[in-house]
Amino acid sequence: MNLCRFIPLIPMLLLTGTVCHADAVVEGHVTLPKARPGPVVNKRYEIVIRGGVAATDPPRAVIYLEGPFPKAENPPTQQMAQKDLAFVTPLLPVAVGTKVEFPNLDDTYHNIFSYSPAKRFDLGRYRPDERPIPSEVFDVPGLVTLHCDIHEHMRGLILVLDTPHFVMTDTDGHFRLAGLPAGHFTLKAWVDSKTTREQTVDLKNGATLQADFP
Amino acid sequence: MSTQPSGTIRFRARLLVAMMFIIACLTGAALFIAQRHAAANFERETKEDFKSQVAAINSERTVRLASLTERCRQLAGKPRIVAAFEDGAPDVLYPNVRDELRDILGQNDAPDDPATGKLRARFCRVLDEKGAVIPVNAEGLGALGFEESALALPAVAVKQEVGYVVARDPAGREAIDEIIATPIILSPLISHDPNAVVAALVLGFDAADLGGEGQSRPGLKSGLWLNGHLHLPGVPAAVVKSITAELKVTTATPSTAGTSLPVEIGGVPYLLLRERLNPDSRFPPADEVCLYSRADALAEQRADRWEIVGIGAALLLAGLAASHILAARLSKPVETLEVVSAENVVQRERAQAALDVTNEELRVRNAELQKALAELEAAHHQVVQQERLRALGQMASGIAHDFNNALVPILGFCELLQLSPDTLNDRQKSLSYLETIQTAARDAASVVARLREFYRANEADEKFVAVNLKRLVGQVVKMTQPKWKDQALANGATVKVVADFQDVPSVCGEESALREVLTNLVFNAVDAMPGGGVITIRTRQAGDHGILEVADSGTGMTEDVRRRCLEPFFSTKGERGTGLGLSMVFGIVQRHSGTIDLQSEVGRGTTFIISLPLYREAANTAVAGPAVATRALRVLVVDDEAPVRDLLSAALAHDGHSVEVAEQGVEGLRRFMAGKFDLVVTDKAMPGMSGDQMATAIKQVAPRTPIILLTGFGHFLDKESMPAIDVLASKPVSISSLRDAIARALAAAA
Repeated sequence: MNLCRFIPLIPMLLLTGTVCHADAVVEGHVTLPKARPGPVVNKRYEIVIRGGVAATDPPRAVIYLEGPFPKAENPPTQQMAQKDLAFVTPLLPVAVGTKVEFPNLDDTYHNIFSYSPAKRFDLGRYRPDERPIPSEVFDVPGLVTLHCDIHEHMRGLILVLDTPHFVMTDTDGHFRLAGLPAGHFTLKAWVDSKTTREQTVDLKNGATLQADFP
Repeated sequence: MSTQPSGTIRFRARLLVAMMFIIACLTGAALFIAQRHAAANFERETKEDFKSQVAAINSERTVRLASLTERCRQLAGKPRIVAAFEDGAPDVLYPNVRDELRDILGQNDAPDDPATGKLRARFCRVLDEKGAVIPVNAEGLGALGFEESALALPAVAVKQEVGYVVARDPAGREAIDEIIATPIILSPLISHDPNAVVAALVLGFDAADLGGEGQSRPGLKSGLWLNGHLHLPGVPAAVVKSITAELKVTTATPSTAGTSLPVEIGGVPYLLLRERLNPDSRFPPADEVCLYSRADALAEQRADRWEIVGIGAALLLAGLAASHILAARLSKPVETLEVVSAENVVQRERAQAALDVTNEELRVRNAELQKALAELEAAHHQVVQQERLRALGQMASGIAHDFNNALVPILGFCELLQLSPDTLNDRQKSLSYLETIQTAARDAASVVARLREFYRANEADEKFVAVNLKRLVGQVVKMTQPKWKDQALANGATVKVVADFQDVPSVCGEESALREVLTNLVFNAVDAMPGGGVITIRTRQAGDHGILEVADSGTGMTEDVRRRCLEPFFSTKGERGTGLGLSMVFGIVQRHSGTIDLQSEVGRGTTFIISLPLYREAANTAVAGPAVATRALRVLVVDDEAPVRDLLSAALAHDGHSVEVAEQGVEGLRRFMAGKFDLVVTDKAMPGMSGDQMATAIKQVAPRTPIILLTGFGHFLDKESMPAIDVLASKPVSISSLRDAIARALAAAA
């Protein structure tokens, strides 16, 4: 039992060792689609589906670096809470194999499910005091749309990435991805469920690469 | 009463018939009106019943449909169904649908309950975004019982649409399904694109209210008109066929939708209503068909009609009975009346007979009376005649007296003149004498004329002239002096005559007649005062009348006498009086258009008041006209009396005429033949040839020569019997009357 507890620490240590050798940085700017004025239901980040395309509103992009990186062992558990009948945060990028907990912070039932090809799951109804916190491990890369069977308007996005290197832009589209290994990689920008831009980047240790997605 | 008169029976029968007729008419009219009213009511009621039933059905359907569509909308928004499209997981679609529709789908035998929303769907399908049915990949979604393509739409539904299909269960029974297509929208609440319709959820419900066993409304059948076919469960096939034919006609005219039209199928009347069920749907158009059988209502109406007829018959019977009783009661007084009238008839006949007898008697009496009257009249006539003769005799004696009186001054003055011819030299005196002589002679003539009054009340040719009342009174006082003075004195009484004159214009009248009136009154006054007294004669004027009053202070008259004194033959003087004096006075005054009034008091005397119209010039001009002078004529005068001859000759010569005279008719004729004459004046009665004979002869020779016949018989002659005579003039003739006669003769011969 004690040993088991320490198992997750091993990849972390390994990762720390790698980071020590990889300190390349990518900075840049993603041209985001303009936030379309529309009926505002909730001021907070939300998922909008427009013509079957899911995105955040206001728009944000997820920048990630694809490459033959070793799979992260025991990536840290993430949380996607339900609060005020909405997912916080609405868009969650995670590395493959990440366990995501879905705590219910409302006073009502939630029933989180998804039919997305990347992850089909159904947590069933649960109350805020449900323990352990219902969770899922996302081990297939792809976009997972979260629904609540009870609250039909609730949408959440989990972007499962096959890389440990990713970051979310701010609402202006600026990003900075640090601690990258040097080498020739593909830098991708996920803008919405149907749009992912990409460019190849050559990363050098200690150097900061300027990469923009026009 | 057993022997009722036939009239009464007839009357009663007529009365009865009339009343029965009226009652029958009234009942018939009432029945007719009631029947019409009932029919109209029935018509209205059935239509209203039909409408209300249809409205109730429609209202139920509307509620049910609203409930269903809302439920469908909820189901179509179910996250698991939406997520199957959103997440691109078609494999989970139908299982999820089945799971979500667990409550209303499947073998749930719970009855429909629109209130709780528990509705049973018979099947469920999902259309893709092109409107085609997504193939079913799961169990428990219900068998369609019809071609799946019937559910398809040209494109996906953007709003809920309703359609109808006819399904057959495995046993082959027909059932009508109501299908509701509801759009499935991705994240309908959070999406910025509300028309993000990706599919449509189609649910089929058993349209139990459209035909089938669920109907509980009496007389009303509802069914579906779809694709030219009528689905009307529970209705005989023949009826369905007929209605189908009917509907095919009416569908062509859209305006008939929503209106109930009466149809008759197989002898049974129906009301038919067609109404569109899914107006805004792309599913095939479906119409609700409501068929309302009026057979039951008609039977009810027939029963009502019989009821009305029954009541009418009862009323009629009651009315007839009442009319019978009423007729009997009404005819009772008539019966008694008839009995009474029969008695009356007998009495009347009896009375009539009596009356006839009396009439006959009366007629006989009348005849007798008339005979007696005739006799009496004859006697009266005789009496009158006798009286007249007696009066004439008395008059004659009176006349003799008067005539003698008149002769007295004539003879006296003549003697006087003869005795002292010197007097003739005194022109004034001799004219005075002559005037008195003339007046006396004239009075004598008028005395004679008085006789005529008995025979001729009216002078045909009387001439009214201006008469001076004052002069008249003077003359009369003078003339009657022998009576009132001499005779009275002889009887030992003193009578005084007082004249009281006021100025009076001349009255219109005949002087001699008025003199006679006054004379009579004076005589009467004297007779009324056997012991003497005063006679007062007054003249005055009252308006356009001259008044002549003769008042005495004599014995007066009793009321009876006063009333009768003007009647002929009434006298208070016994043998002395004729009873004609005052009646003559009355006649003369009347002739003068005057009035006579008398005031009398026994012991105080009597006053006669005579009112005569005043003389007016115009009244006399016509008479005065012919009297004016004529031209100089050659006149032949024939008279056997020398004085008359001489007088006539002198008078004619005085007027400028040339005169020849003859003593007899033959001589006159000879002289006429010998000479040439403009005028012949002849006496009537002459020896040999009379005047009229001579005139006739002369007229044969000279028809244009005017002839005047003078005669003392005057008015006794009839001029008509003597056509040869132009003018008849009475003797004694005055110069003025001669002039007048000549003028008239010339005018007549002209």
